[in-house]
Amino acid sequence: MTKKADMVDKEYDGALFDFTVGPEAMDTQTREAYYRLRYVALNRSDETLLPEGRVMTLAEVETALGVELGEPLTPKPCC
Amino acid sequence: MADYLINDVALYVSKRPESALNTGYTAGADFLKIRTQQPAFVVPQVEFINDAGIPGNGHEFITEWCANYVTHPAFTFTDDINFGIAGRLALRALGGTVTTAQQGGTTAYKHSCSMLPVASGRQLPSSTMVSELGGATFRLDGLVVDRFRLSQNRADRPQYSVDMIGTGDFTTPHGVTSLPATVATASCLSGAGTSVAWTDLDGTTTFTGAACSLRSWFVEVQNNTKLNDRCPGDSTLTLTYDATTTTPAYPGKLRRGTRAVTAQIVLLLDSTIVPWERFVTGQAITDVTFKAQSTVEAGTAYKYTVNYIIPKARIQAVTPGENDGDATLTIDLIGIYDSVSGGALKCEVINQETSNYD
Repeated sequence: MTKKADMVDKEYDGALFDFTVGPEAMDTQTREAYYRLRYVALNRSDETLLPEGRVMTLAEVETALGVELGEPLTPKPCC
Repeated sequence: MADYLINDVALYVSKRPESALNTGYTAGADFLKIRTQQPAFVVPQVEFINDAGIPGNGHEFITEWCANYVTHPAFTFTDDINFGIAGRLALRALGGTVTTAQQGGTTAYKHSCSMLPVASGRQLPSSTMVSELGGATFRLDGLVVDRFRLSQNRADRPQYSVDMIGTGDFTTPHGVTSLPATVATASCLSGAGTSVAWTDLDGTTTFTGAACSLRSWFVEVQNNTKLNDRCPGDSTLTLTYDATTTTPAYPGKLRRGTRAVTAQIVLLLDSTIVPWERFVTGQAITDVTFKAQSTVEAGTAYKYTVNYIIPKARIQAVTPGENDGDATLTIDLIGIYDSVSGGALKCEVINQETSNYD
């Protein structure tokens, strides 16, 4: 069992996350960002937050997540 | 007079969904051969009405025997997952519109669908099936997927199991010529190539791979097809043998009932029990992914794939257990409504079919 939170050690300053391809073709870090962005979008039921088809900077990814990429997400307040 | 081994049955399912329920395909080129590890052949059944026990006859015995309806034929296919007909049935089990997209300019194409939206009605895509073994040669129209399951035990080749239910409309002999001679699997399936993962607050957890703790899994959609949905005006079949004719009817509808999406993952017990922590705190889990893959690529970076994804799920139960002496946790998951996809399950199939894969 592998957890991405343990694996984010790549320097992303200035790097772009390309979500225009399927997750099958993403590198490990991009795929992790992709699924975390989807987690946020799905739990907010907000289709506009889905990463599909977008190219995002690290800053944009972390703004959307609300935390740094390797950090646990903040739970949505219950109910 | 010949007799037959049940394993010699030949089975075919239409490549594409019927244009309308009970509008069967008739050309061999429209069918794909399908295997099943539970061999069976079809013989349609007719429901007769009689007057047994009805007062007035002066006795309790039958004096009237009238054909009423053809009963629903049912068939279960179970086999290793393939990237031909199994992928098509995986898509038809959900019933949403299939979109096909070339992947990154490669020879790989991804065929995706969500569940049939509530606003689109309850009629799932139907298939035509041909079954032949000796004198039992039938073409069955109007079969829908009642249940579809993907599963794997250890690193055995992942399997699919599909329950098909028909309206009862049939033709015999089937009359379909030039049926395919072989099963088209597209590419070899790998038991070691499976990927099972989900995303939670900590990120993506992959249960397969180098530190694999996965013992088994399944994901299933149950459509709870409404049976005997009869209505005055239903079409009839004319069956004439030895100058004797009956005209049983068959339903013009075969709609889904209440759908349910469930899954199970059996893991070795770890020194921390993260799934239990997710369970007792009722945390959301997203993109629960069960991906069966081939050993080769359909296009660069894209392996042949059949993939069921639960967009949003909750853990229903975490149960301690044992597998071959190892302590395990059985994690039962349930798909919950995802407003983005309009359902609780998505399907993706990757192969080299450029179109008409649905």
